Amino acid sequence: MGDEEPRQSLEDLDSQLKKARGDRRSTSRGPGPRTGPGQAVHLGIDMAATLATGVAIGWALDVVFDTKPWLLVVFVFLGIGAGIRSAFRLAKQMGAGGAELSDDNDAEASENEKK
Amino acid sequence: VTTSTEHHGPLDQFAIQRWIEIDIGGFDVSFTNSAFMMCVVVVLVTLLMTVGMGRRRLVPTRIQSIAEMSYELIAKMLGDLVGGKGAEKFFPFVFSLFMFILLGNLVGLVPYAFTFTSHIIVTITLAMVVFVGVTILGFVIHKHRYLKIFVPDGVPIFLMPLLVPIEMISYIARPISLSVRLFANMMAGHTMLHVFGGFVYTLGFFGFLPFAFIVALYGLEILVAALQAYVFAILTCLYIRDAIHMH
Repeated sequence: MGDEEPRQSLEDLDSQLKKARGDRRSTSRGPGPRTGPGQAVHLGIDMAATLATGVAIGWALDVVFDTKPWLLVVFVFLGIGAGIRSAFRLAKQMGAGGAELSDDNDAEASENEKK
Repeated sequence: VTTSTEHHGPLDQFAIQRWIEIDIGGFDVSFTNSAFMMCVVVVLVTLLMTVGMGRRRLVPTRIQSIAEMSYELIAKMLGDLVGGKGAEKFFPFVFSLFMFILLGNLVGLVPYAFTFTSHIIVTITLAMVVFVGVTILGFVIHKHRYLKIFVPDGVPIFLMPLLVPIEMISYIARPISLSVRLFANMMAGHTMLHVFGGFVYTLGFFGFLPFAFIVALYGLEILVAALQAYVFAILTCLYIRDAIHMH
């Protein structure tokens, strides 16, 4: 009889541990912090970086081919397109794990309210 | 009342000071406060891992459990994101990158210390190492087929002239967003701390209000320091996965 109870609680602990590990695995995937504001900052920096890259490439090619300002114009739009594409990819990702994301959104939102 | 903080702008804390001036062939390779902090961090990481794992106990001491936790974090991240065999080959790289940035961020929060991750030249160098390394890795594994990474799946051929340059731009933008994210977070945090530190003095009696805010902000900064190192490591893992598995 005395042996029964600790065994019971050990099995309990085991199942709890398994559950906790499963929970953690499901949230640890994907790039960047999985919170609303965190992802917004992530995306903002991504969009700025793609636009800047587009401008830099366009400008450099203009100088090389002496076609000012046409390639710059083209690559600005391509840069914007690349930014929108990363927003699109993030949206697709959120769609894949959308339910669980909206759950921990509110809880961690206050934690991550930087900028 | 005169104050010495008048000459100290919020950005002066990021100034590079040459401690030992060295000049090799016209290049300024002086030993600076930034270089000093990097050395401190490397020594700290080495100490943490060697002392922490020196006497392996079944019930770990505090230092041993920090060392084990950081090991497990990166090992799990690589397993989850890169996966399969060969993922552990990248462990030393990702782990040293992560520990270097993490300790650099955290040690930088110590008063009077210098935060080398608040300089974009440092973060973009780290990001370029990742970018160039991952690109070489991709070409070594897939040879010329690695160029297919610029071609999205299931897209009609007439859209290619539009989509391939877009993919290329977002590939090239990777190191920029990677480095700007880390540098901007660290620099903004430290500047904010300095500005609120100035308020404590100028508000006189009511200085306790910004002081209380600084305490809260410090907690947030510790979180950001750990989070940004984590994000850098996770994105490195993602890029490695892209190079190995493509799409």
